[in-house]
Parts: sequence; C-alpha cells; structure tokens
Amino acid sequence: MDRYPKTIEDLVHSLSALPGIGRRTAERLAIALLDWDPAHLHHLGGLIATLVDRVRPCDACGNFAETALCRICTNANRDTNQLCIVETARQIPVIENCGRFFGLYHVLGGRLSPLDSVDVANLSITSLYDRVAALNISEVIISTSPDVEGEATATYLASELNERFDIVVTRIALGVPLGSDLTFADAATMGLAIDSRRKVH
Amino acid sequence: MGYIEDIALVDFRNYRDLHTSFAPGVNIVVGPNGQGKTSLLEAIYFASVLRSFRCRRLRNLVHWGQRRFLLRARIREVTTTRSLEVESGDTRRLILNGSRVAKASDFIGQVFCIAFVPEDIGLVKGSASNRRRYLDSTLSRLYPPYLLLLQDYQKALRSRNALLRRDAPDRAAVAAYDAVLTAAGVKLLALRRRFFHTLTDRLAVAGDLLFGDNAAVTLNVEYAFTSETGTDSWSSADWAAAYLSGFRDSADRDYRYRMTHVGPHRDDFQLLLRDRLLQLYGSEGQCRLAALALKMATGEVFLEAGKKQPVVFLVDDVTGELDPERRRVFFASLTRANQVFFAATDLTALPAEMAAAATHFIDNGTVRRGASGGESNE
Repeated sequence: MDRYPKTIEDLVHSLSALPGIGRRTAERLAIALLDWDPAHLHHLGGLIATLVDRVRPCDACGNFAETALCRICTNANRDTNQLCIVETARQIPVIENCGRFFGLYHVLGGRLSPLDSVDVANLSITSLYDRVAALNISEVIISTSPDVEGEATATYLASELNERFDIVVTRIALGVPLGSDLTFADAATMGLAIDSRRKVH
Repeated sequence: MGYIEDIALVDFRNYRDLHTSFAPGVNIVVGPNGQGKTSLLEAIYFASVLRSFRCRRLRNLVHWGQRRFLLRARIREVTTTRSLEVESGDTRRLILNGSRVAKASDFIGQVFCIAFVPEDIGLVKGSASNRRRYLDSTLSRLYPPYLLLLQDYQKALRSRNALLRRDAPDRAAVAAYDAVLTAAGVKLLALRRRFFHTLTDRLAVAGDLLFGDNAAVTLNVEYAFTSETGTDSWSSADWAAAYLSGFRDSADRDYRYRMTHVGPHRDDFQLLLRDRLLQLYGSEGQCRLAALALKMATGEVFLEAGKKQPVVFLVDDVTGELDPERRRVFFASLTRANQVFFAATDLTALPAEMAAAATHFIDNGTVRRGASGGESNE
C-alpha cells in the first residue's frame, strides 16, 4: 500500500537506507526535496552521481582524496616525522579538530576482528611498514579505539613496529574527559584514569 | 533501608496479569504446590539480575502460548522510589526510572537479591560452570566494573579461539590477544580474590552456625595460575607476568587443541568440610547444608558491602532438612536482610522467628494479601 507516487516511494526507500534515517525522516527529506529549486536539485544529484568517481582513498595513507594523494599527504607544512594510525578515514577529522597533531596519518581500514574474519592480511599493514621505512618517521602514534579489538590491534602493531624499526611507538592516553565533573565519571573510564595516572612535579 | 514495594507481571509463567504489593521485612508466600510461589520469587529475582535461578532459557519464563512477558517493580527507599521495567520476548527492553537503558550492566543491581533454592546444591556437587555462573553474577552486582570487564574478557577469549581455529594461525595476532586477555583477566582476578577473601571468613561463620562449632567449612579456590611460594604478596604486575608465562607454557596445547587453556574462564572453587572435599565425600545432606552456608555467607558479604541498594533474600524450599535448632539460626540470619520472601506450603510450619510483616496467599496465578501473617504481632 504505497502512500506516494512510485518515484517518491523509491526515493524514500533509498533515503531510508542511510544511517540514522528512518521511514518518517526519509519521507520528510523526500518531500522537502520536492520544494527545492531545480538547479539545486541537479547540483545535489550530480554530486551524488559522481561521488564514487571523484572520491577515492589516498594512495599513500588511505584518507579520502580526489587526487592520487590526499590534502594532508600533499601539504608541505605537515611534520613527516610523526605518523598517526587510525582505523578509518572518518577518524582523521576528529583528530584534526583537536589542533594538536601536525603529522601524517595511516588508515588501517578496520581492526583485527577475528570474530568477523578480519585478519592482518585484510588491513593496510604492509603498506604501513613500507611507509615507515620510506619516510623519515621517528614516532608512530597508535589511535585505534580503546575496546577489545582496538586494543588487540594496537598491541599487535606496537610489537611488530618495535621489532622492525628503531622508532618511538606510542598509544593515545585514556581517562576522564576534560572539563567534566569527576562525580559523574563512569567506573570503567575512572579505572583507566587511575591505571594511567601520572606523577605530578 | 529500601525494599521492593510492589510488582506487576504480565504473562510471566502462570501469572497472566498480576499487581501486588509487599511489606518491608518478612513476607510469607504461602500456597499449595504448583500455584506459583516459586514463580513469584523468580520474578523478583529476575528484576534484580535479569536471569532466572531455575532455568537459563528466558523463553521458559513466558506464559505458554504468549510471545513476551512484562515485569514492573518499584523499590521504595527512605525518600525516593525507583522503578524497574522489563519487557522480554524476541527483543528486550529495559526501563529504569522511566528511561530506556541499553546495557544490562546499567540495569542490574538496583536491588541485591540472593536466592536460597534447592538448585543451590549444584554449587557444591555440580560442574564448575555452575560455580562460575554464581561467581560472575554475584561479582557483577558487588563490583560495578566487573560485568564490563567480563564481557571484554569473553570477547577477547572468543577472538583468540577464532584465531587458533584458522588453518594457519597468525601467532603474532594470537599474542596480541594474549595481552588484551591478560589486561582484563588480571583485573577480574583481583576482584575475585577480593571477594573470596571476605567470603572465606563469612563462610566459616555460616558453617559453624549450620554444622556446629568448629565445623571448619572452607573454600579451596583454584585460580588459573599458582605459585609454589604463594601468591598472597603478588602485585597485579606479578599476576600479569604469571598470566603471560601461563600462555607461553600452554602454547603447544592451545595450538594443538585450537582453544585457550589458561585464564579466569577456568577458575573454580570447592567447598571443604574439615579438609574433605564435599563434592567427593559429602553426603547429600551435608552438601545441601554447605550450599546454604555459601549463600548465607554471600548474603553477609552483600550486607556488609554497605551499598545503598536494599538486600533481599528469596527462600524457597531449602529448610526441609534442617532440624529445629538449625532452622532457628538460619531464620535468625535471614532477618538481617531488608526484605525476605519465604515460600511455604502452609503457615503452621513456620517458626516464631519468622515474624511476618505480610502474608501472600497464592492460588493459581493470583495473589491475595493477608493482613499480617502467623502469630506475628507487628
């Protein structure tokens, strides 16, 4: 029992496949698009139609790119001594936003997830070793997520990198969020904060 | 202190639609066999732990022919009330104080229920998995981080076993999971050791009460790692080192049988009476008494933890074998809880110690509340 003409139904169906979009939101979006100026609609349609042709993984680091190399890899001002390892390209803007890291990135394309059959061979790990060897890297920062699989991946990478290269391997710190009231910290995060406490001089 | 003020059940076991209230202190649940006494206790327990003490399949809790059950309970405290709501069928919804809660770990432990049930004998005579379930469910409620650590540990364990089952296992990846297992495992061990440390003392006291003075009911805890020089003075770094060397020692076995042989998932404990293993040498009666002592000791640990949550004892059909003096001491120890639910087939068999605050008459899935029970004078 379709409530709309077939074209709108098809659009609603496609939109509701997007993350966070349910049937009702998809209907709202589709109806809103109907009111759009045709030029805007063509522009949006063009962007969507050419998305996969224009955007590709950076040949070097795996970040989103429109040319062979991404904007970070081609930026001459970046510090090429530091390399930050992330699971997915989506995490790069998060780290960029903190304004503290000016080195290069390396996207693994996932993490060691034996239960989902993701092994070392499925991740960009060989290219990581090639880059560390080729670039003049002095420090690798491992920024995988602090959960079971992220920690296992970090442990694996740390041990392999230390064995292969004479570099500093670091792991992002864990603990209570800045500016928050300790009263409301959850037990697991507080435990990590206690474990990774530091000496104050 | 707080208590469970009321409970509402829809399609839970033989309760099609129940709403009934309880009193603080001793609540006697009375009725003939098969009317729903145990199911009412089971519902109260479920609100606390999201498990049953009778079965592992939640499907069995749903009324025959229905798809889901609803359970609502209200906990009254000095100045506030807390509400718990569970809908369990194909999916599960947990609502705490009106807000949806995604994780079981955030829901359980609003009230500390300890069940004294005939199945407890499995803790003494049954397989190690019975004891590990008891351990995990008790510690999850006593120590908030325990359940999350356990879930991490189990995921890491399944991952490591999955790696071991590959045609050509990647040894470096297995070693990475060793480290993650160790990190979670050492923390689990620390909490388990803390628990057993207090439990041992309380068990000795409960054992003396039930078996007579100097009965010497003791625990023999088997951790995954031991040391000939003893582990009392070990730091967590020592435990971590022992753990990692345990992985090295069992590497051949692990790769041959494609599974993980060392770790807290293999911990076990036994109960002893005068240095003799009850599991091997105990009579049926002794094993039942020892199981009761273990539950009494667990109750003491909960009471002494001094948490703000009320401690509730659920007692079903475990006093039949006790002689009058032992019944007296057992009932006296029960009254230390904030609230007790005691299932009985008739009121005449109740001892004077069980001064009931309320009596609930169960009849084929309905509950009628009596004013106050037995000869009690409130």
